[in-house]
Amino acid sequence: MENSYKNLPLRKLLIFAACIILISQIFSSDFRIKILNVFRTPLKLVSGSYYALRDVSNFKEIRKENRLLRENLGNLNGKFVDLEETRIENKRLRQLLGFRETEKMKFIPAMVIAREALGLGDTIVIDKGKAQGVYKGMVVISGSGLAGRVHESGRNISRAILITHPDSVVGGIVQRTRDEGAIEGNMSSGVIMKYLELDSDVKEGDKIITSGFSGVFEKGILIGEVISVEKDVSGLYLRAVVEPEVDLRRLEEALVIR
Amino acid sequence: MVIVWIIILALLQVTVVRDLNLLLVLVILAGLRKGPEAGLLMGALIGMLVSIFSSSNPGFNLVFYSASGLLAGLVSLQVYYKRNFYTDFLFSYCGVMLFYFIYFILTGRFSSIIFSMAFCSAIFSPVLFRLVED
Repeated sequence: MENSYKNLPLRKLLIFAACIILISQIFSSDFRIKILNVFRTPLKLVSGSYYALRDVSNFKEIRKENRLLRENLGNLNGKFVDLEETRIENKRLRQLLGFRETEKMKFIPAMVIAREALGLGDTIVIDKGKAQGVYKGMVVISGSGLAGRVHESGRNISRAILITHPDSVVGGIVQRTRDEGAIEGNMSSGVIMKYLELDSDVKEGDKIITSGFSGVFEKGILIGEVISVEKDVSGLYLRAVVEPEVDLRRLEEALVIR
Repeated sequence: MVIVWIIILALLQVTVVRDLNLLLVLVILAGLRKGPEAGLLMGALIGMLVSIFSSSNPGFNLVFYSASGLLAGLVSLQVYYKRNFYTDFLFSYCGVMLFYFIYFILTGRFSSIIFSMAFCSAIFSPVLFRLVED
């Protein structure tokens, strides 16, 4: 009995030291993503079941959408033939002018298995990691639009920050006018394009694409559409509120660009 | 058993019920029912778990959730209240709103979704309180 009392301060000290080591490890991003990797299977199970149940309950809408898509496919096939001709001609002309052939992008498909725990929805967890070729800094898209960038990558799991995250900055240009600006995430408005020149002709409905200038994001990825334009607080620039092309709150699948 | 509930709620919160903060409600429950020390410990444990699922600065969630549990515990000692659906709902709603309000002040990250999140989380709190307590 006396021995257990003598050992009590030592035990407390050991517990305290273990807590400090554990907390300092959690401060490390690598440890955090390794622990998240452990949750990969249950997260995938819960997300997959939820998506499957939702699809079953939306069966009628899905069937109707499928029929409409099949009808559109016929129209698009005709346009595809014209585009293919244009592509061949473009390739021939680029070769004549000595332009270097650009590499085709390669994609890694991934499923979104979790989101930000605070419910603010600006980060996602996907079920692919280093073992599948996904590394930090890779671009994440969905459908035809930009979704975000890989922030942390574990063995079989990765975390990506979305373009609506306040720390996300993307170089963008207005497709019609070629005005450049910085696309920043904003919790209340979604996405804002800043530093547009005052004499810029950007309007509601203009499409915004990635500029590719920073070398981080490939050029030409659709970011979204302008919904309003106003002067910024300083009065030196214009800023545009942009609605993202991708519905980031309902993101279920994503493609990571290698 | 509480650990099992914490893991289940964490998995549900990051996958299916994205617009609720059930873990925060659990921390508030621990503080209200068991006192400030239990609230602090529960908050620390859940804060560490949330840090794993979150992209926020590490330690940030740990401090926030611990403080929430501690505050809930202190309130339970100072305020006399009758335990029923309305008090459970009220404390949960106020707790979630205060949490996100302070989060907004410290990070500048505000989203209008927090109003509906606080309301919906508070609606579930009486059920959650009874399930976890049993």
